[in-house]
Amino acid sequence: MQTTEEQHLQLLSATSLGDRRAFEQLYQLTSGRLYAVALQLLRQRDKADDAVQEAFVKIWHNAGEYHHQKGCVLAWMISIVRYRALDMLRASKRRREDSSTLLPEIADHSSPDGVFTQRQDKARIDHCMERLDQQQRQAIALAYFNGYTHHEMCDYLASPLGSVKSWVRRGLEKLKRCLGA
Amino acid sequence: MNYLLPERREALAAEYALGTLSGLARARFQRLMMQHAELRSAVWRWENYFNELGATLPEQTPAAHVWQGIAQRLGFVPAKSEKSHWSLARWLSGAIVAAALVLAVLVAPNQHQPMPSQLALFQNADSQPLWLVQLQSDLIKARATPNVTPSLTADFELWMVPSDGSAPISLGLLPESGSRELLSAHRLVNVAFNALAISQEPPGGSPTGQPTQVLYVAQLVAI
Repeated sequence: MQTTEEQHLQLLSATSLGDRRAFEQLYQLTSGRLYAVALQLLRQRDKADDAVQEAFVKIWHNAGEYHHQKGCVLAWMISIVRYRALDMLRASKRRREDSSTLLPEIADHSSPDGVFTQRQDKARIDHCMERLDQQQRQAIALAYFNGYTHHEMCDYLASPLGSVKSWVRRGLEKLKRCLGA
Repeated sequence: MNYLLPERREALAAEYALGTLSGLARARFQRLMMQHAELRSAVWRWENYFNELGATLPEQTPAAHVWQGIAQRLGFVPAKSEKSHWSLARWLSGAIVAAALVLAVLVAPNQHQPMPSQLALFQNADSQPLWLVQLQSDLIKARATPNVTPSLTADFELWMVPSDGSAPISLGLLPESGSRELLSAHRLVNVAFNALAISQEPPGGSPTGQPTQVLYVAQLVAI
């Protein structure tokens, strides 16, 4: 029986040859995952709509550039939508800063710990995340799921910049050792 | 700073993939990634680790219009759905008025006088060229650009759209790669027309003699 990864690879490969049906099938199978990541970062459906649309347009054009070395197909696709969403997030923050208006209320962001408990599956990286100190894990999760910068983490965690940077750096070093990266 | 020392490389690659590398540092790292394959490989590795986390978020189904937007942007469907040639004719009338200066040179083809060469360029929603169609005195040449995606389940049919709003007239099936000469039906029909249209049809062409789903419309320009 074909694994999910084999199925994604087959559809992506057909997409790279211009097969629209394969592309649409790939969209049906994966868009819920990509949309979840975009929505978690951007918090607004219309913005998440834009990020997912742009990601799939890019996936259609760049399907042939996928290589197994870039990770599994779904992670590669999520990477595309996540970078797009991060760019949008940074651009909107810049605009807000430029116009000197107040930052929007971010208290409604679900906490990264909440995100962890909501998740359905366990990823390989999970058991390594669990081995981090609580502060390191929280800082990395805030950056990954919510797109927080170091400065936003300072506000959210009410901690100095030096501490936040150090939690991220040491957390990543520990992850690297655990993952054998 | 030597970015290629393994520890430094891993730390930067991880922060890049996580998103905490920002501003000038991010731009500098992106430039270095273009030059050093080992940096790019390190980033791919971290992207894969992190995005496996993203893949475990509960799925959120996007609204139907998200796919429709993608299909339109990639030129799979027309930007504005047109179900019949009659609505096509109405839709075209606005564009025709707007392009009146360009179109003023166009007259009904006359079988006894050589017709000047005319060109129509079909583009998708992103303004990428798809087909180039050239009408000469006694033949029509159509060329597909590499942007055309060949389809096993559909054919693309070329139509001339009469200026008087009457039903479009088929000029034949378009090539999905390379070029093809089409039947010079426009020479046989003495009607004024100033636009061409492409429809998506079942294999073999329109079953009704009228466009099934109009995908693109292009004005003709005399050359």
